[in-house]
Amino acid sequence: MNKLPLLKVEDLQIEFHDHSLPETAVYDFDLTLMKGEIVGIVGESGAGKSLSALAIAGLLKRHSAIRAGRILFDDLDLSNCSREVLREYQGDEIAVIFQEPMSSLNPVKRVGEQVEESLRIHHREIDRKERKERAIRALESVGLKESARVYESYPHELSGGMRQRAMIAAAMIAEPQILIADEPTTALDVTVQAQILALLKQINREKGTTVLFISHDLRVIRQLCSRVLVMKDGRVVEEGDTERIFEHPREEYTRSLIRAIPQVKQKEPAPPREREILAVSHLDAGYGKRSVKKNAATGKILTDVSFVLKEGEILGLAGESGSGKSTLARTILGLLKPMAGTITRKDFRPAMVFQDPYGSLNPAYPVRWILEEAYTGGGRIRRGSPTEIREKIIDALARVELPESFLERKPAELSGGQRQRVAIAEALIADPNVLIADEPVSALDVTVQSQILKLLADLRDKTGVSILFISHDLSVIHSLCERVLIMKKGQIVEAGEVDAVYRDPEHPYTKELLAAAGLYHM
Amino acid sequence: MVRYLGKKLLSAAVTLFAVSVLVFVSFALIPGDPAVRKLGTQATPQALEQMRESMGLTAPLPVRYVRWAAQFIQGDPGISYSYDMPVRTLLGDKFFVTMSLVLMSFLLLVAISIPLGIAHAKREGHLFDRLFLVLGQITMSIPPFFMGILVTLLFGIVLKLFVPGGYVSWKTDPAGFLLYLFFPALSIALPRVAMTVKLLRAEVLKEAEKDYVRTAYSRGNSTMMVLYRHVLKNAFIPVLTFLSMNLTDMVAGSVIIEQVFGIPGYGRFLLVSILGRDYPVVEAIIMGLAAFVILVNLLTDLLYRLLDPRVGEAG
Repeated sequence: MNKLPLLKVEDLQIEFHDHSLPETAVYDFDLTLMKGEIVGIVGESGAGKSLSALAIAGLLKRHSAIRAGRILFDDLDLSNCSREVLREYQGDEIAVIFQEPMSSLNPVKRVGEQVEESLRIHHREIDRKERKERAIRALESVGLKESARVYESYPHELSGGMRQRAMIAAAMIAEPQILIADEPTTALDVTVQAQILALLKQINREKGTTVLFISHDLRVIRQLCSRVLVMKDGRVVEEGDTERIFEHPREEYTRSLIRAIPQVKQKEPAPPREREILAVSHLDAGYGKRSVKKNAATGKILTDVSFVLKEGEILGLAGESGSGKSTLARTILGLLKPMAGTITRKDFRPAMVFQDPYGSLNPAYPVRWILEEAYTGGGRIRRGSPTEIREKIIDALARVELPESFLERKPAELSGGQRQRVAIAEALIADPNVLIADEPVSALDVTVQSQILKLLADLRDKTGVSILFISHDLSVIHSLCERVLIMKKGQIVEAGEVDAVYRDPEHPYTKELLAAAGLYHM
Repeated sequence: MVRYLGKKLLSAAVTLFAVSVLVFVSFALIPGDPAVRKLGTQATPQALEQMRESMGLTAPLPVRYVRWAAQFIQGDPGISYSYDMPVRTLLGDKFFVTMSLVLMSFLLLVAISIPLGIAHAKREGHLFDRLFLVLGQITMSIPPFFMGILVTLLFGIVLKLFVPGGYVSWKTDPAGFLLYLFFPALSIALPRVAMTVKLLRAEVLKEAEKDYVRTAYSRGNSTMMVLYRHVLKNAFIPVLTFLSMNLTDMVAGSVIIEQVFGIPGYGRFLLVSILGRDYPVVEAIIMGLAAFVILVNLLTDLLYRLLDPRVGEAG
């Protein structure tokens, strides 16, 4: 590969104009992209990584702007040229793929039309017929079968992985020199994520496209990138070859990021647990024939599911979206009637913790109100005097390690991790003995993620609460759980001690999931 | 698409049937004997009985409904009690006049509000935008009858573009008829134009914030291309619903404007017929309105489906 600098960013500064005073979001960002390399930018939310990448693509939204610096490409400063000149490069030389493959595609236009759009804009000499042929070929080359049919579909008719492939086809159709990928796999299932990463690698290898890959996930960066920039609070704190950064990080922040990656270490054997509080046996469940999804003939989502949950145990439930994890949680809670099989509950007092700490807390009320409502059931349950209730609320906050000063804050004033703590406090306040946590950390940054996982483990140690921990992330499950159930298409395909399952997976699907998480080599 | 169309047609037919039953049964059950109304309270019982017989009022209700509906389908809604003339002859012309007025208002509404709404959104925050926000607010708050008076004053009396009250029949002078209708149509359309412009502007600006717009820019689209190729189709979806609601609403709303401008539509006639208990006429008008509303909704559903591929997928 010839090492020629393709793009040079010098002293880039980006500011926000959201409020009355401009606020700097990115300071002195420098980057040189060599022809044909894959460079990663990693950092937590708000670090300025997407902003920097979007600035290079000329896609800063309103209220944000480049204050200083240069973006040199093709003997031209892209940060300081007219919209008309910039447009010549967008889509033709520099293409972008985004995080949300659903909302990033126009919902009312056919996929094919969107895939060929860059050609229509930049290569007017290509006629309609050839454009269509090339679009179909592009769809094929990103691994979409029946590409002619995909060409005619609308975005909502495709799965998340297919949409992201179509986005890549659209980005690659004019054979750009640079592909900017802004968290392109974050919204996808692990196995799909692995496929998309492989596809990006393949494109880089076959077409020599330079890739700038933005992610909050260090593991993904490590799999893909040869060089990486670590960003924090708008600044690049460390930069270098990926392996060097992983093996010998210089900065404390980089070290903390690497530490926060859930490690698969030999676990201490769990103490023997005797008392079963939940036993599920040969359970079938689903939404009946009215359900438009899944097995339309029987409306069944879960088939022959059996497992037990013991007191004080943290049980992992792993699987991808649509595998039936959430349906199982609903059935256990009694929100959905089993179609067959039995659920035996002994002194089973459950509470739920949800994935999205932004959506699950009422934004109009302070923490005190939210917890009080959870505790008193909105006033329906008598719980003693106001002082006693207040003490209980403060106690619940203390258990999730939040100080009393949080009582009067509203969800908007809290960070993602703090919100998830409030959500856990909300679940804990009525003294449950089982927490059902449905993807509780998947919306959080890695460092926050590891704090919440530690909190859950501490809670179990202190209070003896059992936790059914639902997640698509096998390394998270490994770091927290004692036993794991692997679920696929409504069936438990493998179950056992976490260490044993991870060391010697039996079912091919388990192997695939572990491989996608970088925990197993096939 | 064919299945969707079939489903919508069927549901339209069922709705129309339900309305017809409701209309027929309510008028059959309303106290008051049409025979008495026709012959006067002094008529002999035999004469009344004979009259009922000849009006077909003695048969059981379902039989009467079927007869009525069959006639209706053949385009004959019966004989007016008050005028002893076929309702069809009485109403045909009036319906035509009102529908012309409504359709003209609707065309004006679409023709003015859509370009204006787009222009508005393009210039968000500029002087033009702010000026029209205020102007729109004022226009919106003027009730149609008063707008009619203002239009008459400005175009009729000051500018002398038409003769107030000088209605021209379409039979004698089609062009003059359309010219005369233009001003009442404008009065009906203007407040709705202001509302539609406001909605379209808001929808365009809302869509412009979405992720797919960023994708469109990333491919090198210019602002105009993003607007016309990506944003507008999405922004039109809610506007379409609003416009179709307006169209059905205008059919009812035209009654007042017809009074202000002295237009012989069905509006005034409906009032007189209700007071005179001329049920065949009232029934015909209600059924006509119902059919119009159902037709508009049907067309809206189909257009909706064309604009938004996500509609009607699952069921």
